[in-house]
Amino acid sequence: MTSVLFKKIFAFSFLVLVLGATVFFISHREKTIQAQSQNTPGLHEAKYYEPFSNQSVQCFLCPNECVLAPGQYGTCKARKNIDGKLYSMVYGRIASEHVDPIEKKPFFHVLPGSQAFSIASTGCNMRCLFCQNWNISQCFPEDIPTRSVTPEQIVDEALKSGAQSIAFTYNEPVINFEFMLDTAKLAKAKGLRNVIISNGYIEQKPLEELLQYIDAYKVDLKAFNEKFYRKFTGGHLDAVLETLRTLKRKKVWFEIVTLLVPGENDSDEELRALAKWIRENLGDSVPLHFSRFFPQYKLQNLPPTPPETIVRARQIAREEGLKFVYTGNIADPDGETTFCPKSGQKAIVRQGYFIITNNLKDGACPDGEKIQGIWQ
Amino acid sequence: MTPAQILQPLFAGLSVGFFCLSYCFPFMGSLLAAEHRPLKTNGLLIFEFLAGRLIGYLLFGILLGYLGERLDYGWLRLMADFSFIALSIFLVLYLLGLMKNKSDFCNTPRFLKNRSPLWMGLLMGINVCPPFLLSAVYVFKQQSPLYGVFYFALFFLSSSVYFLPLLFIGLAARAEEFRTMARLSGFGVALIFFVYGIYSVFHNIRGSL
Repeated sequence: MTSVLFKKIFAFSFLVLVLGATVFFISHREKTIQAQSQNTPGLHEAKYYEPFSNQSVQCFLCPNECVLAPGQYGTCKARKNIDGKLYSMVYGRIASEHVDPIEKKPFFHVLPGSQAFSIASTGCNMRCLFCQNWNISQCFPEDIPTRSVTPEQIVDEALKSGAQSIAFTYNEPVINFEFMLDTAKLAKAKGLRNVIISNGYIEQKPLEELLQYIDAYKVDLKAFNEKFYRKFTGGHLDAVLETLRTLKRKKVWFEIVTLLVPGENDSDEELRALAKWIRENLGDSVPLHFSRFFPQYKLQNLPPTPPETIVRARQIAREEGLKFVYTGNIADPDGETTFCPKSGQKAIVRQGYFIITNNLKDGACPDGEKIQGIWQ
Repeated sequence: MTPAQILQPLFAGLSVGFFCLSYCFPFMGSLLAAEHRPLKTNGLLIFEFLAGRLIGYLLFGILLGYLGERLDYGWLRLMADFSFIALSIFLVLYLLGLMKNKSDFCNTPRFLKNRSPLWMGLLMGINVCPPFLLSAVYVFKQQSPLYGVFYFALFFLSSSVYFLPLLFIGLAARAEEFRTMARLSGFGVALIFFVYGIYSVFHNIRGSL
């Protein structure tokens, strides 16, 4: 009798278990579907787009100017057409955050020795074959774990960390335009500086809106030839040069970084033309950083750039009249040092990301010569 | 190959294996408990189901790899919705004994006879879960088809560990009460998934119009 009852209870428990698992399966699936639909955290209507009558939209945030059918993502993998409206899918979704020395960005003329509260989302409007952060820049927001945050949270966390600035970095920050703008406005009001580490691939209107809240802009000028841009990045040189001109015109502090890829963008002629263009169009005080390439992502077939190439590039740029030319990713004490242009004295001596000596007082050398930058 | 490249799929499989089991349990549990069979036969059934699941995963992987970036979620979802309908039909046919060697039901094609677990596994494999999707993304970024196969093999093996206890469900099927309840639950599961599948297909199609 007990045995029969036990069997019945056991069999009934099995029925409950199976049906319970079914309900779990279906409810979990429905929740996942819901999360992927419009209620996805991070969904935020985008700026700078134009809707068409057939529910397509055209994005005008960057020079890609993607035309998107409903359901389609932009090249950046961050903006999506949902039912005829363009949404940012990365608003408030942070894929990476660290407190970094500002020298790591690299900014050599911005608050030396300070920390930057650095954040990133996912996606990018370029497809650099040598990307160092491809694991976040070349994916969709739901491909990797992200943390949902508000601009207020970011600013609070930055203040608590003791950082003097918020750096929008790692992936291309421009594609998270709306969140960056909201955060930058708030940060500025709370006394923090805003710095951007970008490929400079942005349309003029959004750039001008953004620059009202940005203190320093680092532009990756990936090469000084269009062929390189087309072959390795998916972007165009002219648009980046236009960004640089706008930065100059708007008097926003900026520094330029060029990663030298062996045999692709490191010829003497190209380096000379690059330095000359900077001097003639942007001025001789713009810091230019030459950085060493290491095989990454899809460009693993090339060797690392020989350190001599980087040193030679610095020499060429200095010969062309640029005052502040630096080297990165190599051991080169002179290339990490800021020299006072007139006296040749050492203004700031660095080692890696650390400041060894800072002889500047209010941005002036011991002989009184002013060096451009943001010093306090 | 680095130790991390070996450990990652193993741990990924172990961490999501229970999740995979809970997905498959409604079908697999009913199937195993509906009939009394020797332990070895049950083992073969589970193996067949898992093999089907592996084929489903790989088919999906190939498709994803071929398309390069990603399938549109709408299409993925629609595919999974249809798989629910097909799964419930397979389960009912199996429970009614209409897909066995002796059955002449509608001249059941040879490749379908006694292969229900394999087909059901395959249909479950198509219905990929989020942890699997994450793994797929990781693999395609490694850009090595060989490593992709290796990754999925390890992922599959470690997540399959959780299916072993299913073997013992078959033992409980010695009791008539248990078999009856298992068949009943099987029909219940089939009905729920059939209705849910139909609902989802219509919902999905309506949403994309």
